[in-house]
Amino acid sequence: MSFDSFAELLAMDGHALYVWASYGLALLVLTANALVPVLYHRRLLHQQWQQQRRAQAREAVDAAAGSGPQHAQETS
Amino acid sequence: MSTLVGTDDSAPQGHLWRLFSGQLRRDLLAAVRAPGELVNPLMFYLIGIALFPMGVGPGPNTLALIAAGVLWVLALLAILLAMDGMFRRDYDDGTLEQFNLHMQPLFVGVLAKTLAHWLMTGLPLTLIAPLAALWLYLPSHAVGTLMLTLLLGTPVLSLLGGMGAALTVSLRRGGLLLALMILPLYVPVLIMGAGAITVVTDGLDPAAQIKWLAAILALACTLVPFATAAALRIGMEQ
Amino acid sequence: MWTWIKQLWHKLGSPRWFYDIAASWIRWLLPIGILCIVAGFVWGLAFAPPDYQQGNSFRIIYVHVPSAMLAQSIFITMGIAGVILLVWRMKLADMVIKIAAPIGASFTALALASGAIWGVPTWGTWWVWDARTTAMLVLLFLYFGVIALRQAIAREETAGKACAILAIVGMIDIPIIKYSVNWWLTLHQGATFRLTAAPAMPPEMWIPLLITVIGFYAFFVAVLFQGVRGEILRREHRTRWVSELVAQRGALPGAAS
Repeated sequence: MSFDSFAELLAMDGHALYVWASYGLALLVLTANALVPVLYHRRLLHQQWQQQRRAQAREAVDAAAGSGPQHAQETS
Repeated sequence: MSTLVGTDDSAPQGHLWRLFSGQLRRDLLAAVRAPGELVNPLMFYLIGIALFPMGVGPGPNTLALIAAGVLWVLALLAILLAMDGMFRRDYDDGTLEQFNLHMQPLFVGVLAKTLAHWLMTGLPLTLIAPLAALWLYLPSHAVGTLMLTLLLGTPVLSLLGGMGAALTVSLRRGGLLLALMILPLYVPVLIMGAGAITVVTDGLDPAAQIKWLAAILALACTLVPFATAAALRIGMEQ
Repeated sequence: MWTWIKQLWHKLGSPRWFYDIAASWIRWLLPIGILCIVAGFVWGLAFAPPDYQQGNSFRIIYVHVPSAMLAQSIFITMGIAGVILLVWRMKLADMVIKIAAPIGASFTALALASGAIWGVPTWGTWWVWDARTTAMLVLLFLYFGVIALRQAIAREETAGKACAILAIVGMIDIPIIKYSVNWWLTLHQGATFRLTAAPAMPPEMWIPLLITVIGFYAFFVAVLFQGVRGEILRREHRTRWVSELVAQRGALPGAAS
């Protein structure tokens, strides 16, 4: 350890603002880059799953009613 | 014997040359019929130059100091603004589709169109630059270098700008996007062009910068038309 | 070896195969990346000795240099992917360009921002037109151009190929830009500023830097792969394997990977 105490590490010999601001920005960029694709992937899966369920429900209604496309349009 | 070989070889070469000169003649004729397109970039160049004394002040020392940069930056912008029209008319009237189909190889046609465009923009700009240099008090011994650098640099600007124009040809409003894409690519030309003039005004030899400009021109001439041809094919797909 | 490469090449044509294999790569690369970045940052912040001239502000190097290196590598990746897309028409290459561009822009911005912050204690100013900063700025503009072109063209296939051309031309232009910027500086300033203070860094300074650089690269590949997986899912949503996957995974709350 090149510092004697934790307080000295935080102070960075008066360069605290610059050093910690840089590392803060780095963490921000890294976190954003990590989160964006994960969240997008999750949302996409969920959206497509919902679409699938809707389509299935529509099919089920159609099958139960045994009717033509007019009825299917009403339920959707 | 040698003439026999020569005639054998000249058949495909003659074909390419006919393609090239035919396209060049067509484009030049079209440009002569619409002289506004010839004059507009020049007007823009002169107006842009004239804005600087109004903004910075009329002091000859200040103006002479920024002259090299201003003369080159505005050349960049003037050529860039003119680029949007390079394929636009042909795209609108459907000629570009014919051009794509019948111009084989396509890059020869692209080279001809670029040359025609440069003859209508870059060359007049080079010729009018001494007037602009006068307004900015550029030392008279640097005017020759200014013209030489513009002569070598503006074809590169036309080549790269033509690629940008081909990429954005199918877009209704491509102008700003074109600038965003192409201006970063213009950086080396700007640095070498303006640098050569600065070197001359400092009383040094600009040979290195000028050789660099020539090298960039040679590289751009051989590579960029292929990129432009590919961009045109992609742009016409939709 | 050669047959293995050929097989891999053919497999890369299949988005479905990549979707699965990328997940197992991410499982390795993301922890390695995060571990290396954390280790490098902690080492650099707390354990590396202060620079003899710049003191503790030199510790910004562990942010600045890896992000700057990565920013340039990402553009080269995009250029190579552009060649692969145009020559072999591999869809995966298009997705790589699309996903890599914003990541590259963010790391370029990080390199510029950390460089500007570093400039205050070192040079007493937020901005110096030194060779690397200027080249980085132009690189950021190149990224903006690729991103803007992608967004302007509605048809996805056309946009992908157009971006590929721009990425290739940009990649060729980068060394010319760097050279000309260096040239420009020697003309205008004579002496150039150097960010790395000491001519030869002691090992306790450069080993954490090396670790951080490795961490950044592993992190980038992991994030890129995850982005490409999302892109595959979106583009292939009509195919059967995706709908089966969606039926299986969509219902789960933690459907991240």
